[in-house]
Amino acid sequence: MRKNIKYVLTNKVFIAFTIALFLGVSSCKNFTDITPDNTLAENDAYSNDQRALAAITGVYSAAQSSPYTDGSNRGYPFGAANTIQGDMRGEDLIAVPSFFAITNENTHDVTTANNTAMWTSLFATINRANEVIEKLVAASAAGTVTQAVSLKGQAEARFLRALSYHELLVLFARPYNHTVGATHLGVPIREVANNTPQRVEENRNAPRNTVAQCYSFILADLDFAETNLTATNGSTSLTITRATKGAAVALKTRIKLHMGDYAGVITEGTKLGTSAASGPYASATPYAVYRLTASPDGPFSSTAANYGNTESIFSIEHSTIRNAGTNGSLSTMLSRAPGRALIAISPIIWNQPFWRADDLRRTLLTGTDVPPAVSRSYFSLKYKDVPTFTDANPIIRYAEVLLNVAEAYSRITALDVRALNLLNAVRNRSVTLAANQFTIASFATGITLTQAILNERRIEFLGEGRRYPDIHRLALDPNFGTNGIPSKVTYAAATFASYNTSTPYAGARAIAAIPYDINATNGFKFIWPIPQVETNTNPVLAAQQNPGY
Amino acid sequence: MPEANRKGYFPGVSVAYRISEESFFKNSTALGFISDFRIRGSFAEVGNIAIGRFRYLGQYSAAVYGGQSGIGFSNIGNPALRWEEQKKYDLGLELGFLDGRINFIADYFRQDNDKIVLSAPTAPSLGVPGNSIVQNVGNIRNSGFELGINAEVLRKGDFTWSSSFNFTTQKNKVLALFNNEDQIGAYNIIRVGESINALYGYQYLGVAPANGNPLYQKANGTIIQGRISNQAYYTYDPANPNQYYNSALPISASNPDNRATLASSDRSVLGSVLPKWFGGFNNTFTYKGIDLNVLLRYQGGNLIYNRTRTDLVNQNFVNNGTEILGRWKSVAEPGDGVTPSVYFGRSTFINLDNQAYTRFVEKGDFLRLDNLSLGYKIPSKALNKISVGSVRIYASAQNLFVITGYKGLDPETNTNGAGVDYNGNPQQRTFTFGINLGI
Repeated sequence: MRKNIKYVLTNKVFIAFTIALFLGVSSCKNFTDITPDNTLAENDAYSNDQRALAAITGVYSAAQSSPYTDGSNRGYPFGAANTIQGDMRGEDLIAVPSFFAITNENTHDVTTANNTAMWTSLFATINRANEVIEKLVAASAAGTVTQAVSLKGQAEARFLRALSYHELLVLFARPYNHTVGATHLGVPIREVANNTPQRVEENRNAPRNTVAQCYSFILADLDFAETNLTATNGSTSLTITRATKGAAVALKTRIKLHMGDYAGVITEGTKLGTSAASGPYASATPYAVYRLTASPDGPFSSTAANYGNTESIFSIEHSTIRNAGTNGSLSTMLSRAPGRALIAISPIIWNQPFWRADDLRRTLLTGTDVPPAVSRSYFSLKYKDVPTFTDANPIIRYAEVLLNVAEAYSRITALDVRALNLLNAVRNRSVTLAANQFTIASFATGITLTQAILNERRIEFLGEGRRYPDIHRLALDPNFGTNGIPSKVTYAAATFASYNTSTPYAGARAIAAIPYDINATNGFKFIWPIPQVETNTNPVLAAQQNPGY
Repeated sequence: MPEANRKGYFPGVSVAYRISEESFFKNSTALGFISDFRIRGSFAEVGNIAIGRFRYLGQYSAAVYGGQSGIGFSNIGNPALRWEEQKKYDLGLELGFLDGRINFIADYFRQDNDKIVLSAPTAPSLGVPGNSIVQNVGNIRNSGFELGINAEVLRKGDFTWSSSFNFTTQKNKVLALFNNEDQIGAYNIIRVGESINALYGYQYLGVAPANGNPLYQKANGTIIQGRISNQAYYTYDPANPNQYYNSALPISASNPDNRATLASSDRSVLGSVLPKWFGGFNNTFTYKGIDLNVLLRYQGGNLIYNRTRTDLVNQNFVNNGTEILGRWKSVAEPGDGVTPSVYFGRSTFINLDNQAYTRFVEKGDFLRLDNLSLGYKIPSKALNKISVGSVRIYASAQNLFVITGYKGLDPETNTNGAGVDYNGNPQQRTFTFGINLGI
């Protein structure tokens, strides 16, 4: 009897168990079918125009700040870092110890943080741009996003991609004229997004492309951008902080100058009004109207001016909720106390006779420590928002277009009056006494005029990160080249007494020059290495490391 | 998990055999001193759920640009992601002697972690968010022996002393990786055949006595020196320590081209960061109402990279530890032979800040007094008057001292699992006083 009951019980238990099992199985699927609450699945991000527009803004977000080596937000690549690094690699600004000392003193190697972060953040921006381009093309083909939004979005992404590639070439590859036809190594061109493991597998072995291929790629992007961007973006602020037709053209004047294509620079500049016989210069339809501000500090007089002036063509926007913080912002780094005053002006540029003592840029855009602090150095005053870091990072402005075209005219035709007029348009708003302004008679040869234009760039763009790109493109120039990175003054040697506006600086320059020639000692340091985080994970690029590292 | 791979199958089985219950064992007089004898074995396969949320899914998250709101690609999806499989094997025996007064346990364990869900790094130039993809990356084996003995050592009148001692060995080995490729970090490497996250770096040979430059050994055995004055490397010739190639002069016997590099390929595996042996020794003494517990813990066989020490000899002339006093000052005062000459601002070159090398590698062996506690149980006769069931007052100390050769703050500091002590916090020393009240 005992055995029977046992049998019945187990039978019932068995049936109950099986029923429960089937019930359980049918509801299993719903339990595990969940979607995240605080993120969008990739396939949902382009389901309508509104989301697509947000994704396009996301590319600017990556350009403004992709993660630093420790994951923090420090304005790499274009929030602040390109400007700071571009100046720290040059000789016109000094690293007050020891924040940017490694970049300033050329003691970088494959592991140092600043150069590593520029590499990783630039490629992060490029991949995000590629992702948006790919998804926009698919979405407009599928009809979820309108064609207008898709084309403009692709143009914006391609503009940022071109900007990123040019930055990579200036930092990690030799200049365009290093070899005839630029056949030397550039960086790997990423044309498709790496957004699935299969794509990563397909693209991980791509080698470095040549510099010529990279520049072609950049120009193709900018040509597409010029065609498909609009002249303005609604408000003055958005016209400055988002890509426009005029921005694509302005950037092309810079790119073609780096390529040595002076005729090309003039053609592009003409679109923005630089071919007028004389000033004042301004661009017109189909581009936004750009013109120089009356005063040289027009784009910098306040943070409101940063986003509302007539001269800025493209700047990166910062706000109180999204900025480069106290460890990366331009205002913190370049400003005197209460800023951190970690980047000071060097007596090398300060004492240059070509920068007149009465130049308005000295009084309006530079200053020394505020009393009761003892004056120790001169600092740039371009970036004023020290407490909340909302200054824009000026990527390109109309003054640079004018000087790019001036240099192009001057190099093609000696003592070209158009070059002089463009130079004067920028210079005469700072050198206001007619007796001190240039006339064609001020220059004996075409070379002296070109030299004056190059000098003007150093004064006008002090603190805007253009010095190293100029050193880079001029390295092999027979007349104007510095043949490498010039020697620099250390902060310790640049005492207040060493600054004066009459005699060129002749004191000690403890930071040795870096020769351009790779066979000279430390010549390999002229360009940055591919960082170790890359060579550890990429044997193809590890084999193509810049020589000497 | 992606929809296709959501179901997993995880079996387990265990078997035990108490030999001492067998009639032949019970009836044997020779084996009478063994009161208990059990053999056991088990096998289990488990998955792992501590792998993060939605890591298989491609996602966009908030990406603000200045004051403009946006979304950006933030996680790369992996539709092929599967469950991790951990296979655990265990074989052991338990022996009891003298009616359970002494017990002995021995175990052999082996855990194979297969298809581990980990972020496999991708080259930064691919621009993948976070520079990693969550993949099933490989197979790691952890195995070892565990031995334990516990005994009631002494019972005499009101005094008892019971003690337990255990000793475990651990061997960790990576069996397979994604494409069997090394994953190289700044200080560590994950390589097939080595223990996971083994330290990976350069060989340091000390300071050249003639000039204070650091000396390294390259992978091919050549000894090179890092010339601090111009931050370049040259082959080291002890007979001619100050000979450096001068590029302005032609190459000759007196000006050989002895330029060298310290390349990434000169790194080698320096050792394991996981302890090879560890265990504890616990003793409890009681006498009438007093109880005393002493717990010692020991561990060793692992290496620690003392990255904190690297910063304490930084060349920015701030925040230096006393180790800098042993630097090379001159030929007459060569210092401790380990710390090179100083030069402002050149920490990256002199101390190899972001890489590992043997100068800062230390052993992590230690013996720690983990717990010491003394308690007194008030006799119940005294408590009958107040209607309290039991009262025990106690004082205890945790982490009273540690005996170790490690120069950092604590050989058990938090190291992010990679054996690198970078400003890690030491274990706290705690003193507790209290009353246990039973009502």
